[in-house]
Order: sequence, then structure tokens, then C-alpha cells
Amino acid sequence: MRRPAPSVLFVATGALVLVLALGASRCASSAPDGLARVAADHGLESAESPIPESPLADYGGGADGSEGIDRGVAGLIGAAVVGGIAGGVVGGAAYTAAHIRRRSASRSGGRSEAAGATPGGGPVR
Amino acid sequence: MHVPDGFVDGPTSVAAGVAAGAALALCLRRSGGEDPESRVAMTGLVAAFVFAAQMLNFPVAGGTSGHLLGGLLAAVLVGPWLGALAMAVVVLVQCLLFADGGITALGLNIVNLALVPTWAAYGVFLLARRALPRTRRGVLAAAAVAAGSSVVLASMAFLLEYALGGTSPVGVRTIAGPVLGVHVLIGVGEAVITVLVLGAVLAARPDLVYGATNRIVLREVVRT
Repeated sequence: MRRPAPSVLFVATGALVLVLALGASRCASSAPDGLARVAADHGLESAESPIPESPLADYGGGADGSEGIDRGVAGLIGAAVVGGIAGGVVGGAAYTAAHIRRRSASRSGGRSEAAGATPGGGPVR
Repeated sequence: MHVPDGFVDGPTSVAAGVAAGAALALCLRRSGGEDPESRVAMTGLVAAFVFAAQMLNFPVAGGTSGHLLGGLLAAVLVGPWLGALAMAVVVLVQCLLFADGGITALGLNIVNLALVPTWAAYGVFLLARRALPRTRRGVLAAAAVAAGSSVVLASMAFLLEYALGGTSPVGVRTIAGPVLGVHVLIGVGEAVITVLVLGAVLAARPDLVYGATNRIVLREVVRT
């Protein structure tokens, strides 16, 4: 039996994500997070990133001196990308699993037909 | 909470990357099953929510902030396999698109932020569930304990990596106290947010909560 699609939850979470992402630019504390703070206090230095930074770097803060975009917009883009990829990965894995199941089921069904008819005389379903 | 490039040396980072890859492959294998639409939607939602919530830093002590990690929340909502996948996607996108977390530290960050808080804390959750009453409140209390511990466990994973391959002359013993201390505080915030969100989902759609549906608890949870 199929569970109904989580439509109410979808809308609610979508709304919440929207609020969170948009609120991130206004309400979030700008103090460094725990690890960054300890690192700064004890002189741990990070190295240069070996890859070029995207325009969204630092949540829209602006990489390499560019002006950057609104943090809330960056958050929305990120949330959409993350949600899409995560859903896509799970969907792909589920599709692959179902495909493998179907293929092995049809293979074993074919094998028992080739071995001979069932005593009842009818085709193997 | 994301490890930048350069904190931990190459061999340790590579080892973490290999472990992360193997773990995620396992998650992919375990993510088949029935009702794929629901799982696709829920995993996507959980991942998007965690990403957005991780942007909301809250102050924890003078001049320091924390944010939701979300690993336990993900595990309780969609299960340990899909939860770890969701968290890993968040870490990946944060690293590649937002320069949060070094690219050479990607394996480390997936271990610390997607695997440890999801799996180790889910284990704590299951143990706590056994000790607590089988009611909605029991589920939430177990989630609170597990969520708080998830942040501390994640920071311990970092300390272990740093002990094995830290590049700075500062010893792990020096930073262990401050690191653990601040993450205990952040863990409190994690517990509070987790309980609020999980409580809301349990109230609206308890059938969608993995941590409540795969146990007999669901009947009791829905009845209370």
C-alpha cells in the first residue's frame, strides 16, 4: 500500500526553508563558529584553497573582493541545489534498485519456464 | 565547524576520504526499498532544511557562534542511510559552491558532519529509546540526548583527525578543552532545535518519521 505523498509537509518545509534562508542574512550571528574561534585563538592557519571559489563563496559574501549577493538569496539557491541533488540521488538509487530487482525477477521467471511446464499445464505466472 | 584546507595533513585527509566514500556507497546500496516517492521527497526536504538551518548561526559564548548540525534530525526523520546521504550532499554543496570547508578536507568534513553525527548519534538515540517510555515524549527526549551528543561526537572526530594529522605545532591537548567545551554549548542548541522540529513533524505526520515508524512505538506515539 502506498503512503500518500507528503504534500502538506512539503509546503510547510518549503515555507520554512524560505524563511530560514531569507532570515539568514538578517538574523544570523556573525561571530565565528566554534571551530573557527578555537583556531583563531590558537593560531591554526588554513591554507589557500586549491580550487577557484564560486561567486557564491562564503554564502554570498563575495569571493576575492567582489561585491557578492544577498546572503538570503545565496541560501535559497543552496537549499534548492541541495534538495534537488539529495532527492535526485535517492531517486536514482531507488530506480537502480528496482531495475535490478526487475531484471533478476524476469531472469528467474524465464529459467523456470524453460525447465518445463508446471504439472497444472498452465504457463508459469 | 567545517574543517578548512590545511588543518590536517594529506594522508589523514585521504584516509578520511576513502572511509567517507565507502560509507556513502553503503548508504546508496541501502537506500532502495518501497515507496520511493516519499523517500525522495523527504530526503530532499531534509537536506534543504539542514542546509538552510546551518546558515543560522546563534551566539553561544562571548564572540563565538554555533549552528544546527542536523545529523540526528536527518537520521530520525529518514533513517541512518538516507540521513547520511542528505547530510553528505549538504557538506558537498557547502564545500564546492560556498567555500565552506576545504576541498582537500572534504573527506574529513563528510566524516565529521555527515557520518559521525548521523550514525553515532542514531545509536545513542536507539539506546535512549530503550531506556525511555514509548511515547511521543520519550522519542523527543531520546532525540534531545542524541542530538546534543551528536555535536560533541563530531568535534571528537575532528580532534582525533587533528591528533593523527594536525599540521599546526599546536598540540591536540591544547585545543581539546576549548573545542569540546564550545561544542557542548552548541550541542544544547542542537538538542533544542531538534526537539522543536521533530515535535512539529511528529504532530503533523508521525508516519513520515523513520525513528518512530520502524518500531512498535508508532501506535503509542500516535495515540498520545
